[in-house]
Amino acid sequence: MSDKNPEAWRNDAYAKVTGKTKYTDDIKFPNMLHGVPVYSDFVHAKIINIGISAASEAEGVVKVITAKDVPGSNKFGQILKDFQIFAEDKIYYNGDVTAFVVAETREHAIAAAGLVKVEAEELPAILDPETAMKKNALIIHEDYGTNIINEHKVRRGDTEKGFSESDIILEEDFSTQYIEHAYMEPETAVCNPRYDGVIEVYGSMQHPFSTRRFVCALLGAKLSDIEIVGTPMGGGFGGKDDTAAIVCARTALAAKLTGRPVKTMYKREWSVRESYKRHPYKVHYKMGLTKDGYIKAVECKIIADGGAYCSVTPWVTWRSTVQCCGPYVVENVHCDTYGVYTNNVVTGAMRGFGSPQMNFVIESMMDIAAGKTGLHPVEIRRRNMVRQNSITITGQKLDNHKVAMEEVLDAVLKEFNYEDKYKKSSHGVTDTDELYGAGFAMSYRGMSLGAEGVDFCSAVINVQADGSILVETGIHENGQGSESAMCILTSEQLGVSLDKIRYRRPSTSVIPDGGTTVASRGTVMGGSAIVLAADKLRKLMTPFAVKKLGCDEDKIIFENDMLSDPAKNKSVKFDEIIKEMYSSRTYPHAMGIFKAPVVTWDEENGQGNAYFSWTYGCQAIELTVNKTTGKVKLLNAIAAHDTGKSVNKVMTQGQFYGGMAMGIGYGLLESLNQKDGIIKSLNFNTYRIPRSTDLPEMKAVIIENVDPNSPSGAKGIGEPTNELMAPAIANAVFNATGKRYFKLPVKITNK
Amino acid sequence: MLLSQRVIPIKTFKIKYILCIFEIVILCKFNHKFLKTGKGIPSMKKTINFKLNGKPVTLDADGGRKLLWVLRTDLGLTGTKYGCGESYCGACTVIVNNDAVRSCQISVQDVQDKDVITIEGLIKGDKLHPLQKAFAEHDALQCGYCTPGMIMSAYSLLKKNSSPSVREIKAGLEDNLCRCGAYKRIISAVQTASAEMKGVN
Repeated sequence: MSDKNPEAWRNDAYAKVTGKTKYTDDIKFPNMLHGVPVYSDFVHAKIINIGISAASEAEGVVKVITAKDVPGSNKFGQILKDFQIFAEDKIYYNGDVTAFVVAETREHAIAAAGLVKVEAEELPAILDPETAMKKNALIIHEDYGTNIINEHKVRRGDTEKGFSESDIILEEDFSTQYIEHAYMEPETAVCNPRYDGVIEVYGSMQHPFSTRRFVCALLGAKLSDIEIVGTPMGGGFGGKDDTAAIVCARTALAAKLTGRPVKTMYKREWSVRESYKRHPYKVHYKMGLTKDGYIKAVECKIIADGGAYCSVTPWVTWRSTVQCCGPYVVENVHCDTYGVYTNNVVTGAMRGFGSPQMNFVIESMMDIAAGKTGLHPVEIRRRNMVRQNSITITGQKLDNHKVAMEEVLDAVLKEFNYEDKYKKSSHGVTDTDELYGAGFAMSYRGMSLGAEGVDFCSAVINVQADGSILVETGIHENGQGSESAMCILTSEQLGVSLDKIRYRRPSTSVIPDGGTTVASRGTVMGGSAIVLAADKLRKLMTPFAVKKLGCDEDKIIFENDMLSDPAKNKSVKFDEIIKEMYSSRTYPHAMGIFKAPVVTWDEENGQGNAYFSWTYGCQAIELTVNKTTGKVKLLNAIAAHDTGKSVNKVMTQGQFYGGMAMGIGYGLLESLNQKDGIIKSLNFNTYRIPRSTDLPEMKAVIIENVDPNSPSGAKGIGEPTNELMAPAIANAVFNATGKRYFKLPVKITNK
Repeated sequence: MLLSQRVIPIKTFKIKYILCIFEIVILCKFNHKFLKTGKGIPSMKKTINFKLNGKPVTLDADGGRKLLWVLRTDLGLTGTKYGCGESYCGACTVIVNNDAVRSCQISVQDVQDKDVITIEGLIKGDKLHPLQKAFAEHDALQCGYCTPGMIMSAYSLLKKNSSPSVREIKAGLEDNLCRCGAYKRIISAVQTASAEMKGVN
């Protein structure tokens, strides 16, 4: 069955299918050096000496850089400035870089890296977050004074009263695993010291502006001294933030110190060892319900292993906190969340950002509750789900957009023929070898950053004298197709054909800081800025058309590369108006700035209008489990999401399939083997990501409720699609086997 | 010597991999020692001739150097990608005498007198290969990093089986990883290309 669609359009497709796309490692400069990181065998240790003399004298080596060579600040971070770029006094985790060897060739650098000698006094490694939280625990970052990176809470109503009014009280413990982003392209950076004193940085990183802050901090440079050039990226999924920025920063420092271009390209093993992962969670969840299935109270304690550095742990765990009851109305909530330092690998942003963990917990709890109350899993959700004007657990009234929770649920039930599949489920009993089960899960998700940060973005539309158009935004192309989405929006807004439009290669020295391309905010924020820029541009162009056509301003429409007044049947070419503007000394150039609607947050009580809009999703899957081997076979899966306006349906569906695939990895396949703080699964033979043969047939259902809260009307979709497969699988496995799994990935045991 | 024969078609790769374990262990030991002493890089330059994308190539290169790096660094053909360096991901797949081969595993001396095709060799003038066209039309990619290797594996698959079933396509591409999860569309694209190549379309 083909899903060939004439609407497929990407500005980068031709280059990607022909191998012409230049990713960072495909770029080279004359006289370029190569940098290689040096690790140590330690997990937690006090450094006595980093011996670099043998390495420095090795053949081809130009410089061996350590913390002593840092002109700026060796410690940086987006929230807490605790991330050491070079290990200085202590080693905090096994991925800490002690030195950086710069040599004439990569081979020389790798050879010399083996000669760096790290002497250190081993300290006890704190590997369990609950141990780290204990009062007398060894403090990992002494100057921070505690191992608790952050706390968040929700205080709503009175849980004691809620539980006393409950007929059923459920209490369970859940745990989730580390996830490696496993972008196919490892971290890479190329830095070129320019004749004018600026250092140009090309890198496989998803946040050029964040990367620039890291580079400037390490080099002690001004923001204008460093130019980060947006470079095609071989996947990010939230993972090319801190670590990727640090790889760029070390490389830029090497370029500064040697005065020559430098390239650093990570081996897969270095990437897995050093880069941050999705947080493993431990969650204790208590839920009280009436016998009719209405949730009266929720109490939960969430512990996230933040690893050796803070990274964005406070933001990740904030989303988990705000969404700790899923898309359900609960009047009495008491939630405590902790992000905790350990000496494990660093954890940070990954597609989903604190929601995949919580959705596994909540959606498992809802099915458990259905079982206890005797209600159908669909019915218990209907009784509790958010609807138009519902109040969330943080006190936000859902009245500024269409609440589509029931709409996406119904879409899945209908399109998947869910009821029939659910009824067929084996519940542990079957005559054949294969147990069959169907399960589903649903969620809502706050759009963009919410109260995590300052949320605004700009776009520039710059029409050239011949009518061709250059577009740029502060959003970065991570492979998701954001450049294409921006081109399509420009084309729609100005009524011009796509072949006129080119996305300008972005640079931090040209476009204003548009924030990081995270939180599924690309199309929402950048797209809205495009719409606003196009609006300005139309206003600039209209007087020229009025003059030419002799019609009223408000009658002019932009379509088919023309400006027309359909009533008078008059029109003029878009290009002609542009020519006219240039001859009248008017630039057809406009900048749009979109500021996300204001959100509020009271940290004390965990209450507020956390996000300016919300999106709704539901996913279901059917599978079989072999009674003897425990092997799971995935048959069919479906996802329905409220996408807001879908700028390009084909690309939107691509996000669905990709999110579901990654969610299947989370639910069933992926698990990072880390023993005593040392990662053992350093490559794809031991870290198993989904393959073509692992996936079920998948169906994507786009529900398009245009969001009134942003000019683009779009809602982010990259993350919602990735946050539901794991609980849907866990529920389907329960319906097949009759056994509930509280740990991810679900590993079938016959006990 | 086993090394010189390491042109590994993917299908038989797993078995050969086991056979190579001893050799790898020895190599690792050697590398380890070599890393410790840091006494430069061994270089045994030799002249190697092979056909690359239809054109004869003569190189003076260290014969043990992996084809991936020769293509990318020495010959400037950067379409073939590094993903894992150990043959697990398929990003570096090229065609050697019609077999899909991991260029990160095969030494350049092993393609002596052979016919090597990379992603750059598929386009004829301005005309995309049916697989390239179908990948673009189906939006069978996101970041595009696995795409060249994926297309080369599919190319080899279609050379051997001109009308594979969905199951055969899935199995044929099993060892090519795509983290963006575009598999569904990749399968559709291979079907479309297969039909076009047979002249059905």
